[in-house]
Amino acid sequence: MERDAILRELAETFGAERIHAQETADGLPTAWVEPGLLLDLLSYLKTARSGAYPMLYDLTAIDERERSHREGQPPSDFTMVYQLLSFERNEDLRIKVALEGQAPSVPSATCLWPSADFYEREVWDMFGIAFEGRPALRRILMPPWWEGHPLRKEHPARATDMGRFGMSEDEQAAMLEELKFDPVKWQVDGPGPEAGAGTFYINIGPQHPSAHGVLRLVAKLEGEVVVDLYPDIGYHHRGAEKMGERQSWHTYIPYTDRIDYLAGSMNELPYLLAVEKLAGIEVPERALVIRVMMAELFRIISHLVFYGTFSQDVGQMSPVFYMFNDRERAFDIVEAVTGGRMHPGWFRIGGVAMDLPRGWDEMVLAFVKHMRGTLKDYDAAIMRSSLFKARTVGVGALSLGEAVEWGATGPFLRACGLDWDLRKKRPYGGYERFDFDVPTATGGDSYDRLAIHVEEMRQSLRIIEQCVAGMPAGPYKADHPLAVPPPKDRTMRDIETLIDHFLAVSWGPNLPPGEACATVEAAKGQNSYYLVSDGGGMSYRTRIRTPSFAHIQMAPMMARGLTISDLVVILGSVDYVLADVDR
Amino acid sequence: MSETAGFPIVAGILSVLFGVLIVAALSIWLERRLLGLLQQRSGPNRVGPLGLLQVVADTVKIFAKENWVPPFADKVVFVLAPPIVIATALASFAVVPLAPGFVVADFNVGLLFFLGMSSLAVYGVALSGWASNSKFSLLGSVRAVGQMVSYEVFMGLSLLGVVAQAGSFSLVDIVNAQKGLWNCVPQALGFAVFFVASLAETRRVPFDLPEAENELVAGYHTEYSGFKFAMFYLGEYVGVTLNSAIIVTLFFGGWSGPFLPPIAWFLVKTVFFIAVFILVRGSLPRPRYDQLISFGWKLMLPLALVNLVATGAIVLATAGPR
Amino acid sequence: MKAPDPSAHPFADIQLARRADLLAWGRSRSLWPFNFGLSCCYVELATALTSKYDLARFGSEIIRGSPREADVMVVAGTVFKKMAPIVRHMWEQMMEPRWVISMGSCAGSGGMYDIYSVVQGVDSFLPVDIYIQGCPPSPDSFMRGLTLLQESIEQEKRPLSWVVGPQGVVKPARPSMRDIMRDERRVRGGLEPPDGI
Repeated sequence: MERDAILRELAETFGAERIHAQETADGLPTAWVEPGLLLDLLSYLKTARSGAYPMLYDLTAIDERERSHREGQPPSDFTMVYQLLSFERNEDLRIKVALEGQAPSVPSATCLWPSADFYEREVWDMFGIAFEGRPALRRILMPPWWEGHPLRKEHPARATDMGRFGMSEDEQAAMLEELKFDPVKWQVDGPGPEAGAGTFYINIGPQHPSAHGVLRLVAKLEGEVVVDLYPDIGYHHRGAEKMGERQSWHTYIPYTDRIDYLAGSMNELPYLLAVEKLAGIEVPERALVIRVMMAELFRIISHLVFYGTFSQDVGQMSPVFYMFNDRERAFDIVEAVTGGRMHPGWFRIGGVAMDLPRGWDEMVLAFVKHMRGTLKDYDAAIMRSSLFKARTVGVGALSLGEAVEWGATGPFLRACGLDWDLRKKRPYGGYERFDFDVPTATGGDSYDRLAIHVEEMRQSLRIIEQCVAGMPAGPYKADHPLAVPPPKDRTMRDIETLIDHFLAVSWGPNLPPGEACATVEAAKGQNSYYLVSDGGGMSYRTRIRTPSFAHIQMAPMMARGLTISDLVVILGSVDYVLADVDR
Repeated sequence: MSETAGFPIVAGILSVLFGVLIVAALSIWLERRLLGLLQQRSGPNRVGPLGLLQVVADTVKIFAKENWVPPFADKVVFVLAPPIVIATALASFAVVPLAPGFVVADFNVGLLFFLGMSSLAVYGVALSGWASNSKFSLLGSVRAVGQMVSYEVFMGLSLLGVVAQAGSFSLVDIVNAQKGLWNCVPQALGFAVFFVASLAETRRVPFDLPEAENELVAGYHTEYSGFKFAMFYLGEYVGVTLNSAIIVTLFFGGWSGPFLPPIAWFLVKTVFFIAVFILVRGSLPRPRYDQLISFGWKLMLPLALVNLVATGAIVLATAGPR
Repeated sequence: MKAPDPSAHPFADIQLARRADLLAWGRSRSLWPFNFGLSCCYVELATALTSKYDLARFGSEIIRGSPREADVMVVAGTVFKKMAPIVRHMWEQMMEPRWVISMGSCAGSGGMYDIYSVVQGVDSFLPVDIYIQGCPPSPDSFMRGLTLLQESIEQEKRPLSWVVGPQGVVKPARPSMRDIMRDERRVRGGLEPPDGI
């Protein structure tokens, strides 16, 4: 098979006995290697002369100790998973490393990809897997006083299993003391604030008007100039991955909405695509188009918030009001269709929750018409404002090489000049039938990132228009035993269907064992769900790869040498939300 | 009131003082309503008719808020800083003629007094940030000082054209000199430069860098609360009122106008400029610190100088030999 | 013989009462929120400020970035264990009188996030005045919560100052709106079928 060409190539280069291929439900080439070979293999893949994999797309782990279906896989207590992305081949590659024992360790990949830093710290924090050959590991998502590693199977999942939360004044003081910035503990500077006369540290966040949530950045300043920046995340860690291990496949859908909480239903798409791959469900045409329409509507909703808050970060007071008004118009549609606003939780395994309401098309077309007009006004008020340009052009510029090296995706990557949009490159969920353009820019700066977002809204309007024009007739949900909740019309007539319905609703479907990863071009970049099913009614491991996590790691690189005002602009232009960073 | 008798002066001072405070408070209401209009919403409208009592409610609340000085602050300076801001702005009104004969003190150097007072105001801002002993406050104060140093220079220079035309520093003389033609026509350039400078002077968008909410949380007044914060808050609007009044006096003929009584004309014009200040705030983004400074030195200062030289030349040429 | 009571002046009580009323009136109508948000709910809180909902009508559009200048802290979103000490620290930095609104199910009880990193209800370490449910609550619900807080502040008994009069705050009872509204909600008709817009 063509898609396994890379596996054959690896077997030829490193020896067939050292590369162990695995079949997965998503068809993504997957190879097991031993820890000793890992770095050689990664380095070969990153710099191979043809068809290289320049981006470390994801790095995570699986606690395999309680997994029963591991057919055809080497024995392992903990498995490291590296996912690499090749633009040239238009293909991903998954590398797995089997680790034995309760406190395993593996060579660090930070020497190859600096972006591995955050990911490795996350794996250490969540699984207790150590990495050799890198600066000492520090917790990243959990607070420093935390005990245990939450994604290990023995760690309790529920807060209610861990005793009632209380905080005396002494405990609070001790916690605050532990959270305090310490250049030595954080391994960023020599001991003490000696690092040069006239420099000082300042805490931006976790509560700051421009942090867009609970992000904490410690800035080392010289006057107003940012000498260095140390992000501290985890103030918004909601345990979404652990939650996947205790919610049924169906009841996990609402949790996905709250990952990138500005883009509601858009988040449900990658999760359901992965579930449908595992279950082998074919989604009917109408459901596909409805999903695309809602996803694009939420892309506009998310971009509008970005547009407004960005202009507010630059100090403009009014545009955010106009954009939230447009967002309300979009929410009127969302409310008419789904009944919800920000988090409708409306897509279902195999389709959507219900058919579109009567009169939806006029509503949608009126919105498209309105948006076309207002986007023009915003161009005049913001995009063409010379003061706005003076603040944003050239600020936080990145080269394409840096963006790829650090795992940037979405508008971020396209602002650097790479024409890479998954909707075009690997059409998923029915995107192949739509006609739209992928905007790119060349400067890679804050202004270009905004320009991409604005143009994407126009393209989304085009897609939505095509959805309205070509909405297929037919069922809105797949007729498949694993598509829940099952159709209700026959339940009151025969007992078998009733039992079936009852089980499917109360326990949810059991998906066949396997692994699948699905990626979509979400509002902020590429968002992936990597699901491991052990044949049960719940996921064995849910990995959510979010774009903001990678993007926030790049903030120091973009802000060094600029001023605090520029830092605020850069943060505004990155388009992150904290739930998307910390999950 | 230029009479020398004791009582009318006190009455004059008090009426100007309360008049200014009322106009400043109303301008807070005006700002919130106007910004609402600009942003397609209604603004405060529940407290009192048209929401006019909103400011009263805010005042009552803020006066009863806990009065507190942070333990890490320099207490004396911390407490003294806010009154400086509001006192200097109020004192400047002494030289502003509101109507013929209705001025608290008609100095012959009235304009210089105004410039001096507005230079003093920055001490309040600078000291507050210094005394707060907080990093965000200090950054705000440093910005304020840098901004003032740059903008004071051409603020003064932009007004010299007016002085040259009137031949006097007294604001009353300047108003009287505009009987034929308001200064905004011959001194259009000076007006433009002064308007920009007074935006900077009042620390309003786009020159609100010392408090830039998105960057410095609340800038120099981050640590202030209750009554002391109220003084900064009100001080800003007294400053807006003052600068509008000065613009009216120097460039728009002060109290002069047909039909209405002079004081009414003065009020109408002042409120108009207050509204302009507010709408500017609602529309523009904020420049970066270095852009602001270079805008001042590289564009505004030369413009002010050109205006001064040109005015001087014309005044000399038309005055003829003495 | 009783000792002369300083407050025996015939107008003393009236004056004090009127002053207290005035203060309560001012406080209730001038609630400046602290610009503070934790997660999803904060976006709906921000939406409540925008044109369609316009919190400014109630005088609450002046959101302050500094806790010292704010009156009400809206705990908008999930309260994380890592964030909890900071949330209380910021509440401590607010000046009296101050109020806390718990916005959303997460802040109220942990909501759908019964997970290791989340505090199950902000009231385990902060005194909450108003709870707003929803995930996230719509801006309308938030405005309802804010007006409820205004009503409650008007009935609150507070000392006139930190030196005058008896100290201590007497807050009015905070009944569950579910009980109060039950009858009205029961007779509510005119619900539209889900297949219309």
